[in-house]
Amino acid sequence: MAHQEKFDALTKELITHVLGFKEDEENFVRSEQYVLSNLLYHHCLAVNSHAVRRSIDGLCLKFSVHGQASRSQKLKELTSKFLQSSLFKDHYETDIEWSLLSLMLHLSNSPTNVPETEAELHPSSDENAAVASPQDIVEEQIDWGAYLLKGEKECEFGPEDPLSDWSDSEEEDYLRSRKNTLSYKSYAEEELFLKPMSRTKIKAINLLEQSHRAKSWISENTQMPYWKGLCYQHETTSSHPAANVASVWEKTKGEEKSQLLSEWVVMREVIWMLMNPVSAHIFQLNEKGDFVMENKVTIPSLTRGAFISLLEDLCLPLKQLRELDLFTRGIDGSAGCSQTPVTLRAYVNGLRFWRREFRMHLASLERTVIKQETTCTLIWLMNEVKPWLCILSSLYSVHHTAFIVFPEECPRKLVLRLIGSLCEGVESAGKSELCCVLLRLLLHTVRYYFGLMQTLLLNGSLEDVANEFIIERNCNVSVMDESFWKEAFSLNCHPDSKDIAPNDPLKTGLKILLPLTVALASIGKSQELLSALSIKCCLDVCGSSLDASTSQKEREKPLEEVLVDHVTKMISEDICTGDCKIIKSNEEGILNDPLQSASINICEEKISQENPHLTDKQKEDISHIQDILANADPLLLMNDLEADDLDTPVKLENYLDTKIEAIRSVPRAVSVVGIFSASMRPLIIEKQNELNSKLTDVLIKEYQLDRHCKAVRSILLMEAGDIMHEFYSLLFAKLDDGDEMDSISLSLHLECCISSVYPELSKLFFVTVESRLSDDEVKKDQEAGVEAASNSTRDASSKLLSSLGLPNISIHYQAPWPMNILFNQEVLAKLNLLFRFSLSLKQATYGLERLIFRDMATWNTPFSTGNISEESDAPLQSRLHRLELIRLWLLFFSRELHNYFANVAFLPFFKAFEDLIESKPSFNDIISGHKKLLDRAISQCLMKNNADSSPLQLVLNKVFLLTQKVSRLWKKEMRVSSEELSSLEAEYVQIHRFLVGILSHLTEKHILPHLEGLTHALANSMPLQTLSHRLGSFEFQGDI
Amino acid sequence: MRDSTMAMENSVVNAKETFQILMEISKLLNTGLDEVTLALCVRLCESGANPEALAKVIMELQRVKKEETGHTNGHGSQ
Repeated sequence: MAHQEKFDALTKELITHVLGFKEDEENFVRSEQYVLSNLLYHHCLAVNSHAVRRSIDGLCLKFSVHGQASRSQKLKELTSKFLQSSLFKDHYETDIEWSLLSLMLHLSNSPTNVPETEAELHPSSDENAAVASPQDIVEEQIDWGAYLLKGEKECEFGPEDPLSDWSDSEEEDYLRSRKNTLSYKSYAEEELFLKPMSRTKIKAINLLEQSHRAKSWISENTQMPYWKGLCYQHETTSSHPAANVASVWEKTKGEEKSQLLSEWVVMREVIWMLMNPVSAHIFQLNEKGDFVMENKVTIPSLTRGAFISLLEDLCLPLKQLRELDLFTRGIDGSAGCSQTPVTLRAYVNGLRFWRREFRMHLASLERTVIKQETTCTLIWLMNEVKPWLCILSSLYSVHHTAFIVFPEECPRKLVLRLIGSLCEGVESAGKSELCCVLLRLLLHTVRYYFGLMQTLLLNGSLEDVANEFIIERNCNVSVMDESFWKEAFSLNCHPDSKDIAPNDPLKTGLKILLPLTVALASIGKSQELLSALSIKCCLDVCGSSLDASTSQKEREKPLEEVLVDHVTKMISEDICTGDCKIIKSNEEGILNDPLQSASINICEEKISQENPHLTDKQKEDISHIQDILANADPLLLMNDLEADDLDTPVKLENYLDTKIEAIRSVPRAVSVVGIFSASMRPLIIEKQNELNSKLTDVLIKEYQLDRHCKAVRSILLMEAGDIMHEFYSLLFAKLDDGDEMDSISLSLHLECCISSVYPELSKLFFVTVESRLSDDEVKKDQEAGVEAASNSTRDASSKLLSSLGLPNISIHYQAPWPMNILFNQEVLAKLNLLFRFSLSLKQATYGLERLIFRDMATWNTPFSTGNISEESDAPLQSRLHRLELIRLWLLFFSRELHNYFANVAFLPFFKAFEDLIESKPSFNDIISGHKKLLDRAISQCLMKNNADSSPLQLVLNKVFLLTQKVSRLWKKEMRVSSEELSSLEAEYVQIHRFLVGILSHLTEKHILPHLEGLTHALANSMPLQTLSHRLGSFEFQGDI
Repeated sequence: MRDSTMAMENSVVNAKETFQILMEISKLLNTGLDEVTLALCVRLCESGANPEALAKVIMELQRVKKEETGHTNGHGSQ
């Protein structure tokens, strides 16, 4: 209450003094209530002397900063005096001095904005000013405007620029009140005389200041053409030695004076050079295409040497930039040329994205340099561009490897090398930023490549105008040719080829793309074959694959987009592993909100509308989204629609470019092979499987693939024993009789045999016989063969035995298209090899089976009468028995071979091929599986390297020879001698041991372990002849 | 008696000097206070008024005065 009483009187005085209200006025009462309530009831803190001290110090500093040092000093002095006043020592109110100062500070109103008085400006003359009279001050006032304009010509000003800062508002109003032209002098005079004297002086000072500022501004913003010669010199404003190092150094050393440029100018030239590297003042281009620095230029604060060492590191990046820019322009210049690989253009497009980004960064740096709001130095600039130059170095390294290190070759190799080089760059990039840039460039580059793949997937055609795709469609091979499957698509270079250098990135490119290429080639061939078969190639989207809706959606996307999406997903998964749940919940929230969901999908749906390959399901989705848009509040959607105009077509390319450029961080090391295979392979394999399944179905159901296969097996591999028995019986009979073998009669006979089982296919088989030697030559060879065998020389016997036996008989099958792709000449040659082997087995057995005891009946008479022809010889019964034994040995031997190979080689082949067809694999697998099975059967029959010199074939021929000899003796009637029999026995033993030796060798070394059973059987049935001295030379010496 | 009178005079002079210093500070800080108002403020502070609250009051009164003056001038010009 005591406070209130004191305050009452003072408050009244205050209100009366400040506002001038009288006590009986209503306003007075209200004001009093306001003042008292604020003074008595407030939330302000008690005075803090330290805070007040700090505020005063801050204010002093502020005065100093604003160039009002005298005020700062004065405030300090006054405050000090005030606080030292003895009045406050024994004052009843504590901290009254701080309270008063605090009050002053709270009431302080922009003290720095108050213009300084003359006394404040010239504190030293304060004392004189105190002495001088006011009259003197007036007299000292000078008409500065008139004084300065004395002798100046009258100048006319044009219309006033509304944005001009040359006049304050009053002058502007004044000038506007006048007409367009104005005499400056008259205006000045009028102003000077019309206004009071003090105002005139202030105006004159303002004019002077403005004039000075304008001059400074012009000098600062006018670029002197320093590049026109070395005569321009930048003058430093500071005389400090550190700011004039160059001059001091040159004077001290007596060197020639350099051209001094401001650091600002040099920084701008550096930026310009990085934007567009051409020959300039500081950086000059020499004849070799390298950038060198002008050695007579420096900045005032650096010596020439220091200046050059600071900036010469930029010469190499400038050269690299120039080469990249020239390459870009070169590719752009060849835009109309169809021979320029499109992948190169895509690469250049990717490079341009990075270049544009770099230029934008440089532009922002230049703006910073121009504004000069912060301290910008050359060191700062070099640090700013350093990360970009590191990336440039890596980019150029990739570019150099792709285009310059290796000589220019065909477009295909060029493009593969570029892709390989980029892949190597991405995989070997240490820093995330660099990896990101290279990955973006790679994604831009491979876009067209994946576009080609897409066309191949959808249409089965390879539209490779510039011959840049890894595989090439061989135009000489039509789909009707039997070599279609093998030669339709060719890979001109292989990663393991010796022509490719070990460090050539072409190898990497091939390795990365090859796994995809094999599947793509298979798809291309399947597509082409199906379309030639007039089968609709487009896959049924409503079919079995609809269970995976996402997979279906993926399939509808272009491959390039799938790749980009995969990379984006991979990166986002890596980055957002921690925030996965949050993002997921956000996404769910968005998806639950139809408006947000619709706005998010607008962009995607626009692309779908652009896409002519829209499916019904996608169209339904679009209509659904449109319904949502229609039912939603139009005001809420306005922003989305304005931001993303539905009517404006969005090009897919731009959309993908944006997606690629949005990849800004790669969290871990990137495996390009992993990315490609993970993103592409599932789609390609899925497509391949579908096409293969369709093709196999068509070939089996409509073109009876299985029946053709069975017919060929039945005939050529003698699966159908009854058919072929008739055929080879006639053949062997003709051979025995020495009849002439002609292809036509054999073909007719074969047709006759087949027609009972395969009537529709019988006309497709025909026989060709190719006699190896004339009859005389055969006889001579037979005789020589006998001699050779007796001489026990393997080479000679091999040579002779190989030429004995059957004529070169072949069965051909004119398979109708498309079966001719499976039964091509190569396959038929292999089948005929096995056919002749089977025929040899049959021939050996056939001849012995024909030697029947009934034919020896004539022997019984002399045997029973005891008429012995030659006393010196062994008894006839003994010789007869030996002959029978030889026959039985040969029969057992040849049957053993026949049965064994029939069971081990041929029957498994039949079974395996049946299983293969039943499993309905791809046509490619049928072809390759068939070849593999044939090769295995040939290998099992020991005919892998050369059928004619095969040991089995040699043995079979030898057996056939022995059979003929036995046959001759069989019919010789009592004239067979013991010596002849011994010779036959010895020859047989030789053959037997020869084969056992070979087979033992092969089985012991596990080369052909499946022959173990045969080896044991033959080894156990070895005849007990002791003719070792004649057997040694038949031991196996060579390889199979 | 003379001593007490002398002390009194010194005290008054001291007070005047101190007030002048405060007035100088006030001008330097562009508070817009005249001598009478400043004297009233000093007395209020001596009476225990919070300087921050007082400053708020003074500024409000100055604002009202300025408005009143402007209002009056406006009517006058009409």
